[in-house]
Amino acid sequence: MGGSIISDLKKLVGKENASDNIYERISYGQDAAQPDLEPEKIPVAVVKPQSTRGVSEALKYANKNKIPIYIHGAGTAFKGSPKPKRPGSILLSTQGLTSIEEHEEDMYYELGAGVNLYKLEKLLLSRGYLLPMTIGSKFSSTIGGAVSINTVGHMVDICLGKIIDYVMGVEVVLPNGDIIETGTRSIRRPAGLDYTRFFVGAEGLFGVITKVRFRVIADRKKAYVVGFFPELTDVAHAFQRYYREKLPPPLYGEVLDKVAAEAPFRLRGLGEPKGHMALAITISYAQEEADREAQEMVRVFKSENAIDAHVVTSKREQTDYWDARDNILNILQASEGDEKLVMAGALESSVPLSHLDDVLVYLQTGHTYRALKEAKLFIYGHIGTCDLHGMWVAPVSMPQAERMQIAKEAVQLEGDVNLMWGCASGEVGQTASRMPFFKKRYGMAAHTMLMNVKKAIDPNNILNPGNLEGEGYE
Amino acid sequence: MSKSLKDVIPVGHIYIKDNILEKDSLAGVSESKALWAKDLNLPKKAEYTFFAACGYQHMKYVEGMMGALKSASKMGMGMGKVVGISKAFGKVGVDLTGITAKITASKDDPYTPVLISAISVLRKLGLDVGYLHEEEPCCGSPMYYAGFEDDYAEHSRKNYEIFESFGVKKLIGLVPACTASLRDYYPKYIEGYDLEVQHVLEVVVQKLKKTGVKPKVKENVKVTYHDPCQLSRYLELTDEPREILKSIEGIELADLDPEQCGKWSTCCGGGGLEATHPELAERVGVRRVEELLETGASVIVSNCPACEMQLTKVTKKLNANVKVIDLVRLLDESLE
Amino acid sequence: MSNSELAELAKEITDNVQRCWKCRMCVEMCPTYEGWFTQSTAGRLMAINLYIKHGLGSEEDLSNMLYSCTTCRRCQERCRILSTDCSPADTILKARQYLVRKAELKGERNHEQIP
Repeated sequence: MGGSIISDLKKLVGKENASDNIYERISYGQDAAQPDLEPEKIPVAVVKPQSTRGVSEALKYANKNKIPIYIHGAGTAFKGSPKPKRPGSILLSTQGLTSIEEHEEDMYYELGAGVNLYKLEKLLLSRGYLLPMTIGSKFSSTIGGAVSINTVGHMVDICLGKIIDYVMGVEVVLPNGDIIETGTRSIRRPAGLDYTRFFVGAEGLFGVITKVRFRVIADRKKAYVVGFFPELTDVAHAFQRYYREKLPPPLYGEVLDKVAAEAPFRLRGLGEPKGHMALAITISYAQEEADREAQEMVRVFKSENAIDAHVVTSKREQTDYWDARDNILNILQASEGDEKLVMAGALESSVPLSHLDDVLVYLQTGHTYRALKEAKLFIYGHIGTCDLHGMWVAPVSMPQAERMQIAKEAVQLEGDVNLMWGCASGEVGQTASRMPFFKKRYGMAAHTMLMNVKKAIDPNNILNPGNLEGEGYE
Repeated sequence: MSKSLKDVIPVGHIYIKDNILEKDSLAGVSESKALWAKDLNLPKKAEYTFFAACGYQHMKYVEGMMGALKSASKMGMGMGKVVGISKAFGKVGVDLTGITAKITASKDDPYTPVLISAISVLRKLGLDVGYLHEEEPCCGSPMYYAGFEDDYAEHSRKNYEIFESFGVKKLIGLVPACTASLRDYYPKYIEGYDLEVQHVLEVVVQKLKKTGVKPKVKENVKVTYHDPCQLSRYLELTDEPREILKSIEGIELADLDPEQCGKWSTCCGGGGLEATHPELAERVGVRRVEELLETGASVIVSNCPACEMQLTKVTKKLNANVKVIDLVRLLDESLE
Repeated sequence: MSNSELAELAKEITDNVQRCWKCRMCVEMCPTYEGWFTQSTAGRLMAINLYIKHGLGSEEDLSNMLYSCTTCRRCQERCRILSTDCSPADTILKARQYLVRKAELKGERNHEQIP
């Protein structure tokens, strides 16, 4: 070794699995919704190893030469984590690890980190299982990415659990290139120290997940509910009441404000939404049970002012409402005159149940951020799991600086919400862009502890450096 | 042709553009044009004018052309390296302009019979159409897709004059890309464009409903349907072919997963990609055929010359025990 | 075609790309995708933007990427239904027009220089 980085990497992982093409380097270096990438931070090479050994070789090389290395699944994250923060980096994607081993007799699948979520969902469904996560980007994203964030996306965590509950173990490559295995082959998780937890949800700070031992869960029967409400806070009250009545958590509980619902409704020929839309899916082993829970949900919706609430039985109607909700970016297709819209700022927070209504009011009128007040706000979210989203949009012609101001204020507002109500993000990861909030929320002692752990596992700080430090988001 | 054009635009596209501009045919052969219709007694003037397009007529030539382009690209004579396309063809031993074999409906050419079937189906359903014969122009859409917008726009205006001079008001297209070109792109470049353009499948569905005719195949068969991109996502016709298939007694339609058919149908890699990236086109084709084979159907039905050429080639390569047949031909055989 | 018309076309293209927020849901939709972003819609859009706006990369690379698209529009449908509706397939076609027009403009100029 000792040639250029790219020629060394080609030798290590195979020449077709490494690229220094400028378009690849920038494509992989960018992050959805945060496309600004300073020229000096463009990675010098992109590698896509096809085996765990390849990942190990690349990490050994980076560690020896102290080259920063940023880890991607499919690169669909949008809170800055996969973006290179330091110059001269290598970008490593685990998308090439697509092996699937079936062990249904032991109730698990062993999955390469690069297995695509949509394909996995399809495979599991064909075997009578369900994939216990709904990631908005499932058509592109990978199981490795989802496990490293530990998010179930749109699902209600208290219904089926979070990803960690399904990960029986992982295969991980450590920063020095060592390959280790964690966990168990039993459906019972190890008691005591189970260092699977060091990696699930660690956003690639301590190691690169290359394989996931994923427990399967039998598919359930579902029932669908829709409700339309005059006020957003009515929806909050409906879910507060549902849980207060000790009813079983639904698999999904969604909200989409009326204005946000308009564009997707129009796109699907559904006419005008009757109000702010709430959706729920109840599940059980037996259809009658799921149906009964859905009836309860309808009753609760109606008792909290719903203009209309009913169980949705037609397949077509189910698809229409859920597509309308799942694809919130459709709202950007609503144009203001001839002007197309772009997303400028976003907020995501999972708040305490009893304050759902307070946070909704605060997002709309409670804060004092000027740029946010002037931009158009859409509110939606997984309200059944207390996760709220705000999206501020701007016309495409708005100057970059003004747009960046909106983005900045949205991040600040998110931090404020989390501090005020003592909560955190439940969906898209805590590091990188959220580090300033993290330090305020949990204190410097907590941050120092994490930095020390990181240093012990990754002494040369080659894995995703700058994320834990919050670089670029001060 | 400017030197700089050849440096950035794949030579296959330039070649096809020159064919259209010089010979008014995608494949550069005007000799065999309209031969397929010589025994059909189609008038030049009628309420509805059938638009046959280049695809099915010259597919045999196109096959040869694609083969030559593939050899050219293998020899490193792709983009920017070709001195002259004819010279390239000379090198690989294909004399395109020398091919003069008469192509009429024959057994070794599965494509021209589709045109005859289209006329036959329309007649069986009670619609007599006209056809411009040698005067029918190439719609020019390959130029549009290759980026030669000005050439395409000019060509479309010239064509419109031809249609006007024959008093054409209503067109019935068969090749999806050409039908989309005439229906959706011509209006962008021609002021006052007033031709009513329909795809033959739309007409067939209406007529089947109206006449109550019940098509029937001789032997029961399980088929799957491959949606051509130009039909599903450009013309937005995904229900029509399925309605037709379901109307035929003895046909069992085994459709793919909803994410792989209809408006989500995966591309088979046929068409323009073969002219510039033949190996990639083949890999795309293999992936699509593998999907289609999952249905367990013994026949793949489609209705686009480019798709059929590609699917036939790939199924052969994979030694797949499956036939590729055009929907219009299948329907023709199922109608009394 | 003049320089200013070319600039107008460039603006139309980059405005469309601007609306792409890199959700990358088009990537797996693309029939030519074999593991690298540049083989997919998202990579093509990015390359168009980088080349036209910032002059990054080579014209030959860009051309190869643009013409390896089958224009099947599966990405466009995905983008319309699930995302920002930035018309990716049509934008790729527009970018092909851009390459042709730019080359023709260059050709005309070369021609003018030689009496």
